[in-house]
Amino acid sequence: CNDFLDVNEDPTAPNQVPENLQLSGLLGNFSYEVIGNTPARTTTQWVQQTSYNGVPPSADNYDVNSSDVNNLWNASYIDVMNSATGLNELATQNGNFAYAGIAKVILAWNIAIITDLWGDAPYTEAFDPSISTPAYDSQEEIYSTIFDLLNSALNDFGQPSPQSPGNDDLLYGGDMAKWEKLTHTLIARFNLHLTNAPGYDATEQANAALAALQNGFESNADDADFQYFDTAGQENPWYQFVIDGKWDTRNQLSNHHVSLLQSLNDPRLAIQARPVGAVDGQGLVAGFDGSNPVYEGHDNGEEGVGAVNISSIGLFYSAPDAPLNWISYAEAKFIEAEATLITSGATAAQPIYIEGITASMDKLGVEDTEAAIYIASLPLLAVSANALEEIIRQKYIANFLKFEAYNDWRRTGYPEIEPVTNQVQTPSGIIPLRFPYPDSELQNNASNVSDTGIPGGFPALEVPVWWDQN
Amino acid sequence: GSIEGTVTDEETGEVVPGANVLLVEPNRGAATNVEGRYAIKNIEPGTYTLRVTFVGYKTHSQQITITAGEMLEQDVALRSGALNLDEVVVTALGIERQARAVGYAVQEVDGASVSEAPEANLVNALAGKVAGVQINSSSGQPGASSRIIIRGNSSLLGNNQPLFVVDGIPISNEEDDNPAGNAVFTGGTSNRSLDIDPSIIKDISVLKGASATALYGSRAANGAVIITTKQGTVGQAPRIELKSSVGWADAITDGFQNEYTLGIEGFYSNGLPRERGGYTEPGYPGENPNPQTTRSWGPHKDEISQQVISDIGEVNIYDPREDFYQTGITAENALNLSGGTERGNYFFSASNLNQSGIVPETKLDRTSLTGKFGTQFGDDLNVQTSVTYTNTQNDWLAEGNGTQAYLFGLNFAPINFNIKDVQFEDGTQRMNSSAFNNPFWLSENNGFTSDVDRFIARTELKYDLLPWLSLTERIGIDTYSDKRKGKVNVGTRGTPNGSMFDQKINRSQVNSDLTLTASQDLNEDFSAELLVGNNINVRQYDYELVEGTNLNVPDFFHISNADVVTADEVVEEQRLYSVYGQATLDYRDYIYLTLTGRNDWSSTLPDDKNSYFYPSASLGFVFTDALDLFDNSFFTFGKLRMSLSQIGNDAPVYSLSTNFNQAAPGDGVRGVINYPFNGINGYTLSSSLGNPDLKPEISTEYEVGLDLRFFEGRANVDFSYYDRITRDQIFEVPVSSATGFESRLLNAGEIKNYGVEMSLGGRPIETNDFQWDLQFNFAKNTSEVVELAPGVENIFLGGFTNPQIRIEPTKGGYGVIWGTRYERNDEGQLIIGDNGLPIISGETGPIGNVQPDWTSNLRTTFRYKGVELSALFDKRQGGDILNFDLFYSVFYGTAGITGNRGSTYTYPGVNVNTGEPNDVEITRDQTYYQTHYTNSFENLVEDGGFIKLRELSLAYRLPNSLLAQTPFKSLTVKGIGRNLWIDSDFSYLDPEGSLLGAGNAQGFYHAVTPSSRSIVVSLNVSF
Repeated sequence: CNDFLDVNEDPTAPNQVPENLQLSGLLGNFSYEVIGNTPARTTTQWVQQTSYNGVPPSADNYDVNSSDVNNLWNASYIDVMNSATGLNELATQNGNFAYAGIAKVILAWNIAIITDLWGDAPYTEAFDPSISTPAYDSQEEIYSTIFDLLNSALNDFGQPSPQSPGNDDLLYGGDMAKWEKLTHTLIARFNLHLTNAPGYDATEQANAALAALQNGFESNADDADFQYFDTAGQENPWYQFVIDGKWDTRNQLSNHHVSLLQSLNDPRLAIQARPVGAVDGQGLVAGFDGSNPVYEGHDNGEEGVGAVNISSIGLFYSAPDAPLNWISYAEAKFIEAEATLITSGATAAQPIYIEGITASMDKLGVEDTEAAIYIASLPLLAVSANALEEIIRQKYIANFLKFEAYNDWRRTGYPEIEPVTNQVQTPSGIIPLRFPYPDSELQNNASNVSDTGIPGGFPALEVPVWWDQN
Repeated sequence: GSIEGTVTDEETGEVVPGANVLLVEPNRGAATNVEGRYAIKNIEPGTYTLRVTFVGYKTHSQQITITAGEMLEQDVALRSGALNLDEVVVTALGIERQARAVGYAVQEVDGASVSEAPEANLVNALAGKVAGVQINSSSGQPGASSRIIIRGNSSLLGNNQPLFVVDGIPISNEEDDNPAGNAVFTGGTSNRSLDIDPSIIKDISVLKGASATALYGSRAANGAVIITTKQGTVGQAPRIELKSSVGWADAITDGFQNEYTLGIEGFYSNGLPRERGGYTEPGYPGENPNPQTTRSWGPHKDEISQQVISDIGEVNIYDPREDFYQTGITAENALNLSGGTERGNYFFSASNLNQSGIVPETKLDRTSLTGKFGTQFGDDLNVQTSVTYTNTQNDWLAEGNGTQAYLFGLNFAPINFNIKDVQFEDGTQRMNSSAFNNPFWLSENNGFTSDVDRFIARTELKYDLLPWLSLTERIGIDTYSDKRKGKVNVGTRGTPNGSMFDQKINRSQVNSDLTLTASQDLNEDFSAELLVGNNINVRQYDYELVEGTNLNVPDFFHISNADVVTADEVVEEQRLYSVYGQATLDYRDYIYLTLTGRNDWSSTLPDDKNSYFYPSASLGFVFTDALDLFDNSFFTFGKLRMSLSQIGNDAPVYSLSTNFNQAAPGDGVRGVINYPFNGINGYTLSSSLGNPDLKPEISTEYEVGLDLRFFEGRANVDFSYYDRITRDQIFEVPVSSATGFESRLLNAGEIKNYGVEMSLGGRPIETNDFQWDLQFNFAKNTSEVVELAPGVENIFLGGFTNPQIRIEPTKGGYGVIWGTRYERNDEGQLIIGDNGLPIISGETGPIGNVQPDWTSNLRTTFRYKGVELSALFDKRQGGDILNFDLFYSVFYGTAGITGNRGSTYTYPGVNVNTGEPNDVEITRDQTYYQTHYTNSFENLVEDGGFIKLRELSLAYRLPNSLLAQTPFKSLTVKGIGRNLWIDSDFSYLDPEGSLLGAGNAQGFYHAVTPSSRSIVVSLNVSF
């Protein structure tokens, strides 16, 4: 009767899948579930680029608890990092090193996002089905892992790969040279993260970043832009989150951000923000006057004033078919500017800083003449009171809607931001410095969580991560 | 000498074929023939006891005297009786046994009480009729599912509902999920026992424990509902029964304030868009305020300012629920024809149920045809065949969390907005908020439809090899296809471009039992019966689904009309092969020992672990017959039952390996990316880790019981105590996602359920014309989650991340409501801030438990000549409900409790700083309800206990004297009221409802259709 009983293979789900089909799934997951998701949605409120124009309390009042962060943690470990680990193993075994390299880059990038948000996290014992409660690595160990993975990826990219990605590479269409540049740029970014880390030397970190950037992005054409499409179920994550009505169209511009750009007379305002009254995709509310656009931000943490009275996120970022930028050439330039400032001073950093602004403006389609006027209006780094603040401010504008702006704020303290006044959760009223550990870990890996020494609940929000000693 | 006679039904006067007639002392018997005649010849002269028995009738006993050489003509009229001492019960595999011989709890439900209950769903019709059976209807929409649980939840995440068996064939009671999304966002669907036409049911036997179901094996581990349908009998004259009924149902709409209008902070708004006549009262907060709002925090309807009246005129006040719900109408017609020939029997049935719901545009239409035939070939071979075809059509609306559920637009609608005015002149939807859909608009434009074609066919061959040895083969198939369609029209808020799906679900189950039965009297004292058999069971499930989004032509729901089409297919098959045996030993008709054993081989387990054996033993001891003590006392009958049993269970299908699935990036709640993405496909490894080393799970149960009858059966008590432990359960154990998986399949966990069931019955008054019957059931079950898996602290059952329904061993076990709550000190007192408001904890915790403390029900029936008055009271003590509607309706100011706005309150508790009792008074105003009350989910937990008059019926049966002039054999007119009276603390009055359908996560009440009160009038005629 064994033949009779031999019907337990699922005919609708394969046991094995080749590298190309795993890669396209992996990149789509990483882009939508991580880069375009909670890290950016939540922290851009905390650094006051965006604001929740609804009824408090929300994440905008620092009301982020262990359940709010569950999805990101689970998506990262399950959909992205476990998949990347599996793809890396399969591709290495098959000698398809192009795939192995990409898998390592994604793995490194995602664990970096995890550790930047939570500090200590499982890695060494993770992705092993025989260990159901993986121990936590320290953040310092994870950073060392990140560099190992990225260097190992560079090594992979240098090897022949009988099969290499084509259109299954949803980010670069199989252009491995761009993957290499991206990897170098990431090495630079993560080295810069450690400028204030205990036991690390800012100059050494800056030199490491500069060395990596030698082979990093060379122009906006190298940008890691993940393309979305104006088709149901293929739209940009910001469009799905704040525009199309599935979520809440009241996630809008922050007054802090709008005011900053207005005070600088920054032409990017009209690109990063929609005029007041243009709430959703098709949707201009009745009485909208396109000839006289007005831009308004919402005061973070305050009671909502109605979506129609506040600017929504600009079409450049939130059109259904807008690409989602993962990391840009402009950021590479600002990393280089900051590293140069550390190693060689403000004057040396000045032209690089300008290149960063120019790259950002180019990318957003600002007219050259307008860009030139804007750049001319900015003080020289050498004469400004605080060159680092100037660089980070511009990086902050260029990195609109990026999680990286929050890392820079924690690392450098710039731009200076006032905590919201009606915050409800952080005990001493400061802007949160990390995420609390998620429910899924509290429930299923409790003793390892408690070994980290990070308190449960809202007090966790006030504990800085290891590299954040500023 | 000899004796002959005719056996008739005392009430109808009809003859009773097949009745057993016994002369007790010489133990000589006969059965009545087609004409109801019996004859026993060659009897030694003397005085004997004549005993006549038949299923459904009271045993008739009388003394007769036989004189040598004479024939005694003795007619017997049998009285129908619920209190039959020698009744026969249907046990596993359809084996009929004398109730006295059974060593475990079985409770029978009369078919009439099911078919006459005004419920389309068989499960609902069982409510309040069996001790220890808990029924919960998920929604008041036509066709909504109902959950049935016997003796508590014993499986952590598996199916906890009993097996349904019709005439020996296991049938599907599955609830096939809605493909349009998680039930949290779309509501539940039907459970497929909905397809059973109650009018063909003769009786239902509820097998509660593992011993009762051991022969069925794993799928009856949670009990079994054994349905026996009507049939004709050999020699019976043709009999036609006609039943026609019509019922009216009205929604229960408690729980809302009907005093305060739309607006905020006491200022009035009319809810229209500004450019379409929108108006806000001067002083309305905010710059350029939008009159479109969801907040009913405007002025009291009697205190609308003169300014408003002079600006827009008198304000009309509406009751949105009254305006929306309609009277649901159910019409039911059934025709049964039964009869027999000399060697055969037949039964035909045709029925239709047509129900329009209390929600406009919802309906249920069920048509059922049954044919049953039986023939005796020669002396040895008997063949019974039956086929039932059912077509069930169901139209219903989405429920649940989201503005596409009509209850969002309805339960949060203000009293000063006319929702009956559905559209503006240009056809666009008209509602008081740009986010909410008008409920009428949804019912006219959106919804789900289901069209089920189902066949249940069966053939049973019984061959008598020897007088004491017979062979039976019973094979059956239950197969159905469910064609479903989902419609979201263009213009629906939240999905402005519309969407649709077409789904075709197929389920089939083929089941074969081959059994060999031997029965033999071993000597004067012992008789034995031995049964061996094998079972083959094959279950298949598949569906094909196409979903389309962005519709081009409004109101047109064909897949060609969609810009984006996605498709899915699921295929599942599992097979089970078993051998089993049952030995019954009967000692002097007062000790009955039954032993069973079953070995299963399952396709879902690993090759080397797919075989598992499980035994049971049960003992029935009729001590009143064994011991002389009870002779001639009021104590007619007493039996002690004891049983011990195990039941094995296999794994879910395809759970041994870890496979890849098509990538489907999502943000965890609403946003999603579909693959192929821009024409490129992608895969992701499953988030659930398979386990190639699974072994079968085993549950063990023991049960003791007493069956006592007094005064010749006029009063009875049945008592059971049971204790069941299910160990090594196969379930998805949640693990740290850092393992790369969300869950892994393990053998782990232990749940213990123990409790008591009690039935009391009696006929306190009985005269020739008047009878009063009482039937009382009580049950109390305790579930203890002894352990989960190593490292697992709790298990999610359903709901949101917060709040949710979960299993939490330390906090009351199964069905804990978990969510945001208040801080409390060690004494359980609230910690109150200086502002007088309790402090909300940063950590979630237990805020309730959905399991009731106990359940009971009471049926009382009075009969006077042809008039019968009957009432069924149903009581559930305790069992919390998370009423998540309150989260919104309190916030929006439509909830009944917000009618106390402006009143003051001092929270009992201690000040956070001083530790002194709180004396700061707060005002319950808009700010309080919006920013405090709804943020502590313990405020949303309500007591789900109730007592209700579930049924009240009045019937009149025309007396035989009147019927004699007519062609009718019987004629009964009956009126039944259902849910006429309810007492509860639940804000919507009737706590029956569960957004998550018939699944394990109960007690989550959110945006589901309320239940209704109904009246049904029926006419039953036979001729």
